[in-house]
Amino acid sequence: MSGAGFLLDLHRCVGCGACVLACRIENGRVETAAWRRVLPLNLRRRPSGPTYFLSVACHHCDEPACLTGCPSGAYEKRADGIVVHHEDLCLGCRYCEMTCPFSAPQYDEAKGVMSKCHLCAHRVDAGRLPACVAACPTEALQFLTAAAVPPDGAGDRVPGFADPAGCGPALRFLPPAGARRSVLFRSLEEALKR
Amino acid sequence: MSGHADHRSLVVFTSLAIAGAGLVSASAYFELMHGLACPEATAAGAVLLAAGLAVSLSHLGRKGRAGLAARGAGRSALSHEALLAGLALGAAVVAAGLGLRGAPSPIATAAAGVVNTAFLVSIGLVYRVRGQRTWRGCSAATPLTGGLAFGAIALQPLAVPGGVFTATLLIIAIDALLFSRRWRAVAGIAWPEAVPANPWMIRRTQLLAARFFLLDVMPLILLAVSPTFLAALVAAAGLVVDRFGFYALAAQHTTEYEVAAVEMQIAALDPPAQD
Repeated sequence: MSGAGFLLDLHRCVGCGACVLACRIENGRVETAAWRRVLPLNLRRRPSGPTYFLSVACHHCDEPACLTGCPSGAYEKRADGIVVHHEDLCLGCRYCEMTCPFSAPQYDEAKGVMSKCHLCAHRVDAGRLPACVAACPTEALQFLTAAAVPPDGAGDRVPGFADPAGCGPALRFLPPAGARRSVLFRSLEEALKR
Repeated sequence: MSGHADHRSLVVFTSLAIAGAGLVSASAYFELMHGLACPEATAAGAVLLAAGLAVSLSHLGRKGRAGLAARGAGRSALSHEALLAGLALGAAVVAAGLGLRGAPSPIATAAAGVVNTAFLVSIGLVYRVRGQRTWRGCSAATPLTGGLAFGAIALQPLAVPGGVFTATLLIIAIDALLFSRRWRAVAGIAWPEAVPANPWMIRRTQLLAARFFLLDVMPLILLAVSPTFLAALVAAAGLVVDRFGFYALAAQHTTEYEVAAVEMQIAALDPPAQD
């Protein structure tokens, strides 16, 4: 991870969706597709698997597939690692939608262009936290600056999250804590390794 | 690519462009290697290519910014495709124009053949996206082999038996071989993984078989009986089915897909129910 990104504490996230709502309000995306989404894992509460929530948006990858593929240079990776999209350069070809394995870029039918999470660059530049992070009531979603060192135990892989294209997403996870949840989590990881 | 995205314009664009570039490439090859000069075929290829490029604009959300597509040259496969599309059309128009005026130029013909072949390669490379599970491996080569197969089949009625027919058989055989590998790769994706994301996966066998028979098997049988334009029409239908199937069977490896796979794993971990 060479730039700014997110840390998601799977033990603290309760899947409330406050991050999604905050993102929608902050970025005026009330009626269009959200940039952030919360994916529940073990939705059926099967007793053999841990239940946790993946709050995901654009991961501001080290090697963004959207940026590499974009024919018009509408994507830019800033010095601090934030990947921003310039609407005025976008053709609306939707190629980034095909290349991004995390479904981060969303097509805006009304404007005819793509859009995606910019890590609230305007807030970060003003010394504030991204809206989703600021709104998280349990502090499960945290902002990692380019200089920040992720806490001990933070990993880049978790069951339910993969990097199939080798993009190097700037998202780190803290695994679920607590005796039962961590045992279930580890058993699931082992099962997936096999 | 998400399953709900509208791919109609992409199907029409790539079908027309692949057919056009394949016709120009095959025409150039047969003219230079077998002396089968047919500027009308090159002109027809240029028309198909131009129509395809016109349709491609309809896919863009901001058509007025189409010119910006070249900004990613050197980095973006889509920029390379856009640039080669323009060059392919220009080279085909020049080669066809010289041929129709009765002053064919081997250099112009060769340039048209090379640039149009490069364009077919670039179409395949655009879709070599690492996160797409069904666009890997031989899928990147099928626009080239399918386009050349269509072009060669379409030119058969104009040819005398001999080297041209042998070359056509070889092109069809290569296309059939590469497509069969793609078929195997797509068929190898487990049902429960693919179905929730893409309902076309349920009918993938019929879709892939239709493409195989229309573009490879049926034209071969028709050409063996008598080289007529019917074979070209069937091959053209095969190209459309090929492109439709290509987009319809897109299966992107997203986080949602990964979560679904883990859910299946958790279900498998469940202890068996006690009677």
